[in-house]
Amino acid sequence: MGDDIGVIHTEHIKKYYIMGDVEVRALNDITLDIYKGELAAIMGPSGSGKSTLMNILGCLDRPTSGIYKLGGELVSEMNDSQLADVRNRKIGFVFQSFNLLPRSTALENVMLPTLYSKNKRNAKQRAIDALEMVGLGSRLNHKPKEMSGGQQQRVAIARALINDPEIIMADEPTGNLDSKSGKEIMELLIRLNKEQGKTIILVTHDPKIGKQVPRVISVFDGMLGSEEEQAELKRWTDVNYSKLDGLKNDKAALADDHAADNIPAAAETGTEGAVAGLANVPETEPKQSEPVSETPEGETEEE
Amino acid sequence: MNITTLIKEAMNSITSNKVRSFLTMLGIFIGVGAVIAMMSVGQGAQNSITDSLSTLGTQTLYLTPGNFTENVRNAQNLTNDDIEAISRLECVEIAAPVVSSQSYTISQSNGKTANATVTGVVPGYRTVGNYDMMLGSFITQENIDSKEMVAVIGTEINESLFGAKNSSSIGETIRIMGQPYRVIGVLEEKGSTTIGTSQDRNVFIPLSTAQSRLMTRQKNTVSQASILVKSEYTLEEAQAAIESLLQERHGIFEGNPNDFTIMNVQEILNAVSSIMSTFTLFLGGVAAISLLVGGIGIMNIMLVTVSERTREIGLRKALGAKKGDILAQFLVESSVLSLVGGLLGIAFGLLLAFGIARIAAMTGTELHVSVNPVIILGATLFSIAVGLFFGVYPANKASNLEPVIALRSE
Repeated sequence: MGDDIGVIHTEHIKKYYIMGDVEVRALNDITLDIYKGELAAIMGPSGSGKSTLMNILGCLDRPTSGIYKLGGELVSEMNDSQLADVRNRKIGFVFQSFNLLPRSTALENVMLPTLYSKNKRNAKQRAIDALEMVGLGSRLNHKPKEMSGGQQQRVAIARALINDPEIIMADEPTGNLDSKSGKEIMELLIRLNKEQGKTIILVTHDPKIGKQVPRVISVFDGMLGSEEEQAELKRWTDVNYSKLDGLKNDKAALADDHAADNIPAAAETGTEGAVAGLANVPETEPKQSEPVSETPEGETEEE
Repeated sequence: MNITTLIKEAMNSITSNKVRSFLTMLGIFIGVGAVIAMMSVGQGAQNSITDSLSTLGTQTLYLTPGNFTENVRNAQNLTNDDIEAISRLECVEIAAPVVSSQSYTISQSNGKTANATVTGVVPGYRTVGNYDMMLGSFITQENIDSKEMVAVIGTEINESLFGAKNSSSIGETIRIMGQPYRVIGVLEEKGSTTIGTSQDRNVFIPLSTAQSRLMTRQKNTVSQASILVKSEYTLEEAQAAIESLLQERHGIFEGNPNDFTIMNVQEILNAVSSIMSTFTLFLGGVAAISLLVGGIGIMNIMLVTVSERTREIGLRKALGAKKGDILAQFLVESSVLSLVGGLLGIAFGLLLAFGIARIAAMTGTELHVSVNPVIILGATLFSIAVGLFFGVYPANKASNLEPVIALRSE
């Protein structure tokens, strides 16, 4: 990765909205690079600006100021029509609520982006291939309402793949699914990343997903989280979900995170929980393991 | 996106809500139907009027005594000599004087009677009036010269007196005002005139016989003359020549009103045509207002459709649809909606027109519906235009939606 420019490259992106007389700063100075073949999750609490960031990275919206280059093209200066073209060629979208056309079959839904594409050659065959890849080769002519949520989302992923985009943007892709289907969808996305080298950007507030991806981009108050905040988020997710069986520990851990310092016993168990949770971290992201393990210790020492 | 895909998508969306689409189409359906029916019936009526007028002949002038618009002092009648002088004019092919009177009761020895207009004619009248003979012959010059008591009768008179339209009645005797006339010919059937009087209830006798025996008050005067103008002269030229000749013969000075009237069939035809065209247009215009109302209905529904499908529009934009793609999609949808309504309306309108003609025929008025392909093509194009026009605002609204906002809406 190093110094070269990523497939997604932003410099000091800002996004302001005017709501009545008040100026709302949805994004404030975001500088970031996402490299080809990465699988990254944008995470943050609701209202943090992660959706705005996703919209801008997905070329659905333009930043108020700043530079955004997608695959070398200066997207931040494009007009609506050029943006539409970039979305069509370079980005595949997967949405939380699938957004399939209810009256069209799976095949027709997958072919939808080719209607707006210059490359219409073999559109049908490409759609069939995409559906086979997501494991729906036998359901080409089913309508969305005849399929389960997981299947619908796989149709949506096939639709995202048909124009062979550089980037797949998935906005809460498992948000409307039960945990089993959600897991399958995540496995599919990870497989696409590993086997086909697709750059995948997920937007989620599901910590479980945060744990599965190599890179987490956290957003707070319209800004990228600092090193500590990134770590905090990572630790928070670990504590919450690595110890699902120990409810008491969990609660304590949360209490610790929110600086409930007047209960030393709870703080102690919380620390234990956090440390136990961290056991998994080095496997996924070795770089961050050190600062993360330091932070909870530091906190407990202060108390 | 090519047009077939657009139309396919539009049909898909239209059929997805059948009841609503049908009700929306109904406005255009009724509008186009009314326009087609009114125009077809109006055109048919106009055609039948002008057709029957043109049987009077488009190279023919009608000369009658008297002036219908101005008072004339010492008005003179038209005499046989006047007509004689006219027939010698360079531009006149035939000048056929007639005398006619009120309807007479005609009887036959078997006791059957009929009422008929009896007209005294000359041989040239057959050409001028476009009469064909079914049996026997028309009045000849010999009949005129020797003031013979002979008659040529129409098919209906033949039927009334002798039992059937084509009865061989040549040589039989009929009585008009008690005077015996020998039938020498039966006319071919001609149908009714514009004003509804039958042309087959005529009885023609020689002019001289009529003037000297039947209508003795009209001795030497004629009640009308049909003048066939040579084809190399225009009606206007002939009219001017006849007018100056008669002014000279009747001693009418320049600027004084004429004591005769020359009617030009072409002028009448033109006047009637223009009146009927205006009337037809007026009917069509009234019907077109319902088309307008139908168009507003389409706009209304398209606006509802756009707000219902905000999410779909957002999705399409996210997947790369440009403003023009969305605009085209909704314009095609409203046009297809309107066009289907229009096509059904054309069928409905034609059905309605033929229905009206059928009812008219049952009540005794012959009416031939005239289906004008131009009007049908016009109605088709117009309904597409209505869809386009009233679709512009909703489609524009749809195409201007921001993908972000459209996707967010639930």
